[in-house]
Amino acid sequence: MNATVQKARVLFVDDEPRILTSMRMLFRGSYDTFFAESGQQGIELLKTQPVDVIVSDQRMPGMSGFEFLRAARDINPHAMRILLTGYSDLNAIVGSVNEGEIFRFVNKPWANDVLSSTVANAVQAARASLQVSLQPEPFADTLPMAGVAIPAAPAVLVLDDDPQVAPRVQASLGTAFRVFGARSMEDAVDCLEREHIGVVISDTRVQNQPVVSLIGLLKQHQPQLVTVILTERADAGTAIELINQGQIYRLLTKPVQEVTCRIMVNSAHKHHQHLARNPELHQRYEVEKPAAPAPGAPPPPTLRLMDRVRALRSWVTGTR
Amino acid sequence: MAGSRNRERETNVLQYAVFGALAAVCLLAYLVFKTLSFDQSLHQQRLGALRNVSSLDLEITRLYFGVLGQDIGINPEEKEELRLDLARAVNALQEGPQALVGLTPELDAAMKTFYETAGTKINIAAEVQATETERLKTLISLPTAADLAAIEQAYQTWYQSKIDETNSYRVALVAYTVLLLIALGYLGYHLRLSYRALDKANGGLREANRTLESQVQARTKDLSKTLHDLRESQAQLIQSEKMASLGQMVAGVAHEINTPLGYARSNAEIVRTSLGDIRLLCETQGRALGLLSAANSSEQDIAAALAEAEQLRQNLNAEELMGDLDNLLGDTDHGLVQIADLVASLKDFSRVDRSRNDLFDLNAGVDSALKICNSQLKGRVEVVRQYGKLPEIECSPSQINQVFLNLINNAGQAIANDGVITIETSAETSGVVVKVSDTGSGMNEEVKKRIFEPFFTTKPVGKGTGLGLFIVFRIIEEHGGRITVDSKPGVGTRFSVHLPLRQPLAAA
Repeated sequence: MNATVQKARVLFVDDEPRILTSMRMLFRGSYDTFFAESGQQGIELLKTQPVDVIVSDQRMPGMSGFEFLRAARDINPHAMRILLTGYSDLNAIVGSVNEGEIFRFVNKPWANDVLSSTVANAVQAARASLQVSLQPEPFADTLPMAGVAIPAAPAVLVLDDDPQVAPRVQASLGTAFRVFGARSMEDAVDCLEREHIGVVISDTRVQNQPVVSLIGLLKQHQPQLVTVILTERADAGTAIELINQGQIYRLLTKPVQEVTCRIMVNSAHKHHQHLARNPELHQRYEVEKPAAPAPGAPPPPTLRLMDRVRALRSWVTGTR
Repeated sequence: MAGSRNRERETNVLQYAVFGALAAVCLLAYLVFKTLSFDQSLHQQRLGALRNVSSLDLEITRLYFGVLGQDIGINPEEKEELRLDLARAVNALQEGPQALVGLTPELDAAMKTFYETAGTKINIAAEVQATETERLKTLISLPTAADLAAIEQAYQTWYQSKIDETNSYRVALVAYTVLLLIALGYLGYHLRLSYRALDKANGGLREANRTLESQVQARTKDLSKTLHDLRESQAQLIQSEKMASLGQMVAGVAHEINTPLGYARSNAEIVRTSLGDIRLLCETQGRALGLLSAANSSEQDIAAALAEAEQLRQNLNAEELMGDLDNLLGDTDHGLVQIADLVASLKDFSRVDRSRNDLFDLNAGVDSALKICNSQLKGRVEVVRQYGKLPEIECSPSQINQVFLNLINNAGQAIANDGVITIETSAETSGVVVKVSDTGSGMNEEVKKRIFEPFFTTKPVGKGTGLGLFIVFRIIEEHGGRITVDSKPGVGTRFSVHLPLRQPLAAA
């Protein structure tokens, strides 16, 4: 393969042609660029052109960006998806993370260097994972089977202020998973040190502290760890932060049905196993470095905690 | 109903009471009469009459007894006078008020016996001569005195019975009087009780009268407070609906602004980056030129500098770059104009820079509302404008713009995918009319009837407040206009807003 020599291919979709002009000027030196003025055009183009990265506007007439990216994922799952948006609608964000599996949200107006580096990261990730199948193959042998207590049932960590959440999750999962509850970030790290955790279910804030920095740090040092946000206080800004800086796998709003919870945890667990087997994929879920904290912003988890996270033993890399 | 029945019963009671009292008085009069009916003087007269008869009879007997056996004649005058007197006295027993007839059968029998005896005596007395001893003897021996005594006896018996009867009536009268007194006392007691109750009721009534005013005031205060609270919460709701639609509007406008802002910023950055290249080119070319014009520069240096500058120019593809940069700056200009337009339309729409009531061209209002809604309609809904020439009308422009925004938003939401919104404006004799039609889902009669009700919404819970069309209705009402709606399910809906040319003074 001459993949390293060939220029990466990037598709831009926006209903405003001047945006596309600007993109052409910005990226023409670095990539092979493709342009579409609507979701439908973009889908037609994807059917014939294999691309590495898709950058799409959210608000477009006819087909929204998130609908387009969902369709694009079916056509070309390899392509990394970036949503460019001038308007943050929570439903669109939740839909795009859960169904479109977005790599980054970029707000309009954007800074060219930020957009460039985001696209560059996406290209790198797409290139690195080119050879790996993105669909988790069914691990029939290790699939947790309902009702059968496997000695080493996979472990799930629930990080939530409400102590009722962990038992409820355990109840909906049955004996297929072991659920551990944590009510503070320290508890969570304790548990991660002790147990072989693959999936973390967390609220957006714990003890009045946003969890995004912890989630991001965990993802950075334990890329195979899969995080699901389960919250009743969702807002667009937090969701975007969690996606960009925490690479969360799913965002669900409470209350969640038992069936949904089971399906979601199963799918997150499979994703975790897939990531653990294929480190090449880790780049696809690389987190954005958080912006330098504003002077008045709440302090990130203590340095000690961060050190502990860095020192976390990778359970999965050790096995298999 | 209950009152009239009560009154009827009261009337009956009153009638019974009057009858009862009348009967009681009659009974009392009867008893008194019975007690008083016996006349003592009559009794004395009767006894006098009897004694009179008795003494006359005794005189006659004595007269005739005196002549018996003696040869003296009877004084005929004296004899006749006595006889007549006797006859008169006897008659007096039979006639006149003091007559002793018909009182008792015993008395009547005694009287009868006496009459016969007395009659015989008078008859004999009239004819008898002093010589007729035998007849004299007979006359003298006639038992008139005994008969009279029998009469008196019988009369006394009757009299006694009469006295007894009267006495018993007296007892009855006394008993009855006592009874009446007791009844009277009872009635009086009751009356007093009633009066006391009446007094109490009267007192309560006076008290109630006195406090009534303050109570009414308190109630009025409560009611006006409730009304005030209601108005306030309604105002709050309307405010929150306005904020919600404002939020929606801001989100749309933010996107509309962020898109041109996005490419304008990006273009500016690209131009700045390119300027670095161009500056380098300029410097290189400048250096070459400097070498050319310098006296002591070598040919080699000049050639190298020129070659470097030319190489750079070719690498940069300077002509093309300049063209591109021109285009980028043109785009940036366009974007900035678009942003300025949007900001201006926001200002037009909100009308914060104009007085509350102003002369306003509704066509301009519809245009600014359409600009605000543009992001929701763009590419999906075709907007057809059929504007007539409109006179400026007196209204509150910001409120009227809100009406158009709400109607156009609703029309846009009624159209699921593609469709057409037609806006017609025309002048009427006394005002203007604006019609907003859509080719959307339409409404059935039931929904149509309720759309202007507050809190009525067909959207899912949490999606709509149900106040949008209510606010539209209120604004138009406050402007003295009216709004009508035609709709057919599956065909579409048309709202017609009629507004007068001028506002009535009261509303101004």
